[in-house]
Amino acid sequence: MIKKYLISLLCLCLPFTLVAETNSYRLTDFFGAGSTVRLQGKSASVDISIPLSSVADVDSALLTLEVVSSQALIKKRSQLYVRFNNATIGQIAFDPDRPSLVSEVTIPKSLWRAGFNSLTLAVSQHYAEQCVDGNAPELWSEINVYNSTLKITTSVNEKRFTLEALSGFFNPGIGGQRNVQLYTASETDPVIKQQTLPIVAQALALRNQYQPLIIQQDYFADEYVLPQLEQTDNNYWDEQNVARYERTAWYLKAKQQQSVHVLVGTVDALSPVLSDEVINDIDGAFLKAERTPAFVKDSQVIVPASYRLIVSGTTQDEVLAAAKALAVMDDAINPISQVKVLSQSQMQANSLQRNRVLNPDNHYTFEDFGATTTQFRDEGDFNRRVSFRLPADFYVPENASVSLLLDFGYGAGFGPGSVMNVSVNDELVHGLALNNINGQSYRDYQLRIPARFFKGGVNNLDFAVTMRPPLAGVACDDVPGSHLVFQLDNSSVIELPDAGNVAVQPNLAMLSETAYPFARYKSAPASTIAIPSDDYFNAALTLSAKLAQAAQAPLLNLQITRGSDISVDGSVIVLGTPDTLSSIEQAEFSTAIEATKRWSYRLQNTLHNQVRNLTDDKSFKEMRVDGHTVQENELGEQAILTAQAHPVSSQTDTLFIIAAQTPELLEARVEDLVSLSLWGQMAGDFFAWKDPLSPSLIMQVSEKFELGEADDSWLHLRLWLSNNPWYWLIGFIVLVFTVSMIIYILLKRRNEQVQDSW
Amino acid sequence: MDYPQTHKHHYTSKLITVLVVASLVLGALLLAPMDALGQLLSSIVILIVISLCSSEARHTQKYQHLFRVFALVLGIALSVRYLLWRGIYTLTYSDFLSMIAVWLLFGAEIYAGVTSVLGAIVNAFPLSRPLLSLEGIDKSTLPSVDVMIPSYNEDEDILEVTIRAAQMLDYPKDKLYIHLLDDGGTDQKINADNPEAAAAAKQRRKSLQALCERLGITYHTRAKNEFAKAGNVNSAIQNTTSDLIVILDADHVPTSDFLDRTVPWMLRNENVFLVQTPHFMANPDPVERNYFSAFTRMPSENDMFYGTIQKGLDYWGSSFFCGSAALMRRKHLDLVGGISGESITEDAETALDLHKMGYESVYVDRPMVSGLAPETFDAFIQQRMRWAQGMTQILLLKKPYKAEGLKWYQRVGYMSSIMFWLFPFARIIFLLMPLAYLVFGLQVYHASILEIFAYTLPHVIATYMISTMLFGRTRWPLVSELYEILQCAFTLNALTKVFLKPRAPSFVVTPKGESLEKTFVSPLSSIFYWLILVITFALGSGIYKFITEPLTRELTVVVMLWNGFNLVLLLSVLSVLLERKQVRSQARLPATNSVVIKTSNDEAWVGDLVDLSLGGARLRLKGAGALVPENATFTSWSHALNKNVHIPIKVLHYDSSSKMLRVRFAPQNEEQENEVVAFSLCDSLRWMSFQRRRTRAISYWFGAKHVLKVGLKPVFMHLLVLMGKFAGKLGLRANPAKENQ
Repeated sequence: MIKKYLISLLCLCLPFTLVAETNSYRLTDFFGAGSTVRLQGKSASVDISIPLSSVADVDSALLTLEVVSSQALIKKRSQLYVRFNNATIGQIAFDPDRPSLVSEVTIPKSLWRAGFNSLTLAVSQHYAEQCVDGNAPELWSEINVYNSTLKITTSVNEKRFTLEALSGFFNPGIGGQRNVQLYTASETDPVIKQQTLPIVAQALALRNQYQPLIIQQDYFADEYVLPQLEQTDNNYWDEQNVARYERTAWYLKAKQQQSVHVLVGTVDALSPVLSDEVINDIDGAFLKAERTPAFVKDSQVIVPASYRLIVSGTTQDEVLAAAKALAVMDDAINPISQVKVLSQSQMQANSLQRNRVLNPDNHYTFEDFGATTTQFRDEGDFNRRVSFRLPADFYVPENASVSLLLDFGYGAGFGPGSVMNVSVNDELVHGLALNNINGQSYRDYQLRIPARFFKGGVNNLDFAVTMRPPLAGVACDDVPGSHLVFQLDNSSVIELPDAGNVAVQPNLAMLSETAYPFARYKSAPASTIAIPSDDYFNAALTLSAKLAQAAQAPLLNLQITRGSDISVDGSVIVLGTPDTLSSIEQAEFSTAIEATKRWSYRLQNTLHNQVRNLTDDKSFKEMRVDGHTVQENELGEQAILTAQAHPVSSQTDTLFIIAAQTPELLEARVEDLVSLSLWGQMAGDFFAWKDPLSPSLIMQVSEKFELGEADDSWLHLRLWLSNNPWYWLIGFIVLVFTVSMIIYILLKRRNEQVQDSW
Repeated sequence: MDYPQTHKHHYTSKLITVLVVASLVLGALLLAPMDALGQLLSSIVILIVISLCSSEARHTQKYQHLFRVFALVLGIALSVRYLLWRGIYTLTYSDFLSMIAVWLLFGAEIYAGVTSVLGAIVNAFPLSRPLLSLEGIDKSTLPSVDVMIPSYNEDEDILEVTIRAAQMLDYPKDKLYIHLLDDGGTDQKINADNPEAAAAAKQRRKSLQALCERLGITYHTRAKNEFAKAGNVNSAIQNTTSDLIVILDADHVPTSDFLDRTVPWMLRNENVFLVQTPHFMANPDPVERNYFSAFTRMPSENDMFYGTIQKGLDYWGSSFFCGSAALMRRKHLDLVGGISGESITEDAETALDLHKMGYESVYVDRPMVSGLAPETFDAFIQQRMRWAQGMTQILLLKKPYKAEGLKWYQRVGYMSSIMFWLFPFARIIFLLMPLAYLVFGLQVYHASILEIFAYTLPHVIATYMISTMLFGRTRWPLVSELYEILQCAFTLNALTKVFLKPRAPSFVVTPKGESLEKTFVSPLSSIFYWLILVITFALGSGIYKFITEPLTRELTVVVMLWNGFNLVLLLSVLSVLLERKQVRSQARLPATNSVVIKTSNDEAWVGDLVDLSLGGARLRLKGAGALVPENATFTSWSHALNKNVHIPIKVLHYDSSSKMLRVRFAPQNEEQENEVVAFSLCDSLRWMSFQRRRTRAISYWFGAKHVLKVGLKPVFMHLLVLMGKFAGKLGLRANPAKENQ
């Protein structure tokens, strides 16, 4: 008997023995700048933030650095220091005889912590023993961050799976999950597939922040079939083992470990895979994080243990409500395994989207959008980036301006060359010499910046501060800069002007950055991802998840529908192959993807099918593409994404088409598209790609149009007239001529009267 | 029932209804919002259309007036659109000081917009009247005329010329009565407390009485100097009886055809109370003399008013009395108690009072009175201050914008004339406002560079185009700005006083006939030095701002251009402030008559007049003239007298290379004196040809180039003069600076 229990216990524990996973990352995966970092001067450093999921334990980490240093650097005094979370873990001496080196540094696992870890690469560079000019050009070294790698082995540390841990599993850091399977019953209600699954996909993707999450949807069988086990007597499937088997996630198609999968459906639909206890618990909108045991026989894992998230309810609406709750949930305050959602408010699609952006005609302190007070110390160049989001359709008159009321100060003893430069979206807007030897503190330091420097989506304010100590006045003697201090307070304020909500479409760059037109500011009209069959469902879910990441909010207005019918109103993404897309009337489109293809090759048209930033483009050139080549061919390995005005919608809307030769290729290409590298490169309105690295071709082929709030007719008039000044001009000339003609007749008549009086 | 008339009236009402509706729709269109680039495209097209239309409007052709009206409406619409855009989108400010600056600037722009709209209405259709004459009218039926020459402190010589010319007016002598109205010899003056002044007044009365007796006219004076010129004239009106009254300033010499051309208008329409004619200035005002010596080449300020604006006002039945060179009907004057005296511009006020009663005025565009413009800048400013104050008094005391009895267009006419004189407020704001931004950092103009190109520049260009179309022949580009800048600092002060105390200003006689024996810097220059200093400082601040504030560079450049424009104008103004020496006591005007120089030995030389003044003439001989003796006789045809005149002359100089002969008239008797006056000053044809010669249109670019060209030169001249003065004070140098440039 004891043996039996011991076996059972062993069976339970075995699957949860830590299964390590090893991955290798390039440092560029964590670093936004170019592939090479050049460090110049006597001392310089670069910080790289490496995120780590809270559920991941680091077993080992090896940093490989590829470095090139100046041959002018002298031995001993010139070194590269590698610090991890401020602890020095490596010192690499520069050798002028060996300017190029590859070095490996082990990062002790004890230094890792959940969240962001700071890898600092600092250099100390000298070309002489004494009197080194810190600005000498020969003081340099380069780190090839593209070839430099971090090889890391992690394992999941989560023993008890609660809702709190979701943010650890779905995390942009190392150890975070990059794909997830959503399981539903084979006879799933359409509402679940159309609305609930996209929201679940988005909810999980939002936890991944910017890291893509590939979604796969699958069905579980209505009832389990006990597996055929080798060398098993017929008595093996006794009641106890059957019960053990029932408790496992027997329906899993892939034998994945350490990852979470999701069950979505009503309690009735999920009953084949849930335990009776859970079924009994579900009496409303229901969320549960659950760990399923493995089924092990003779050390052989028949069904692996798994983490599963249950999104359920007694009705479809309750399932939907549970999915919505999952989408907005702050995991940190739910250290429990199950939640029953009773009610929710402020869950309209538009209000959710609005909560993530700064509202025009308002003012915000930096603290309001999460920026902390920043302090820089010591000599050097420092940068503080304050990012915030504006509505994607942020539209302001030419002369509107944004006010910055900055609170900042610097301490005494700043030397020549100490400056603060302020940039908005990489455009320099202000400079200030920090030249008061006694230091200075500013409150409400006002900068009025033309609002056209800001754009819909993410905006960056950069405060670049250079701090230099005073000159010593004696040769070969430097004043240390340890006393230097600069502080930018988060009580600084940004005042936004009133703005309209209009955007110029089609614009794939805007889609990639803000998910516009699916996420808007004032309204959230229903939007659709149209798929011809279930074969495209995974791609649609992945895409909806990515759009939510771009919007940084769940898109409750987005649903997935079957069929290529685009007669519904609202912005639409149509997925399909050339065959399925033939059902759409594409004669009016600049490009057509059907059995035959109509391409607007660049050499057949003037320059205007090059990509332009449509928001800033005010050339009013007619965006008409005249030259086409109609050809019969397959799309091959590539996929095409096009955008144009919705041809049949009663409102002005945008129609996107994503096409590949087969559904399988389409799914693969959509996975490429949502990758970090490719998603950010979207631009124009014609985007072709066949790998996740770079697009094959980007073009601008469709006529542009405005999309905005229908209720603000004044703004619409402004846009319409701005794009069609000739109509205004013709009306103006005609009216002026009419008025002039009447005045002329009246004046002439009076002249005759005066002359008659003579 | 007159069917066609009724039908026409109905048709007119319909047209007006359509006009109102079309204007409202146009107004709505002007309000329509548009981004800057769209507007820029539209503005460029509109400017091209205005340019084409105004070019067509300047050529004589069938649809000349249609093109003119079309260009005007286009220009006004563009300006209205600009002002609407300014008002709706650009009046933002962050603090109280900025708010004041923003509204001051906008107020000045609205003022400029309103005056240009009023000006466009007034000048839309200038009236060209035919030239009437008394020929063929029975002389016995002609009304009697009193010619009144009010005088205050003018020299006897000046008065004598005017009286002699008045006596030679082509009108039945038994119906022509000439009166000298002496306000310098009143009882009040004679009994003044200051014995020297009293003696001078007594002497003046005595010598003028002698002059009147010698010339056979009536001398008038009165007990007290009440109500200045208006009181003087009214006093004389009470003592005279003729049907018509001509008022001539002391220096205003009429041509012989003055009554011949004006009286017929009185005969044609009993309702006419005034026939006004232009004031032709026989000498340059300080701007014309000092600025580019432009008197004979550039249209004068008078040419614009009398050559264009009065004709426009005449079309709208609101041409007004200008104090002199006018014929008035006694009957109508009696209705308003003579010349009005509530304001110090009694002339316009009188016309306003009579227009309100429904009487009509006529403007005859033929120069038939030549007068003297103020010689010095000081006198010029004094005269303009009086006009500005007087017109503002009319605005405040008579309120022509709501005066009962005036038609709407007459109100527009008067308001246009009055509003013009408020320019100092706007001009000072336009001059100093760049400082608010460049020096004090106030955000006075909240617009991007593209918007400035789309809205502001087209508005400015359209305004200049329209101005050139309306006044191109009579006013060169940028010259109005020069006149305004010259006056603004002084008249601003004067106007402020009027606004504070509307009845306070008193009539000040403009000094005329002052001598300019040497070149000197006007004592009024200091304010301009300060302005130049301040604006130069603002330019420096702008450069600093440009370097240190990259964010606002676009706007800084625009404001610096504006500031630079102001600086160029101010530098040009320096040219006017350098009072140049005037060699002759009378200005010589171009003339083209054929003349014969005869000696007592019956030797004769034939030649053509080049120029002429009351004192002498310059002529080009057709043969060699080296042997012309010192004394000779000058013979030529006088249109005024309709006969040949023979005037004794003294030869001053003969230039054998150019064959130019300079002579001085040396009349020996009364008849010859009269002939000299008649020949030199009483020929209206000569004034007309002179006017035509200088009233020519030039391109805007030529005008701008011209201002730039002369803008910098006077800076050095001022420096030279001031340095000379300084050296003189130190006893280092005896001679003044370079004279007579």
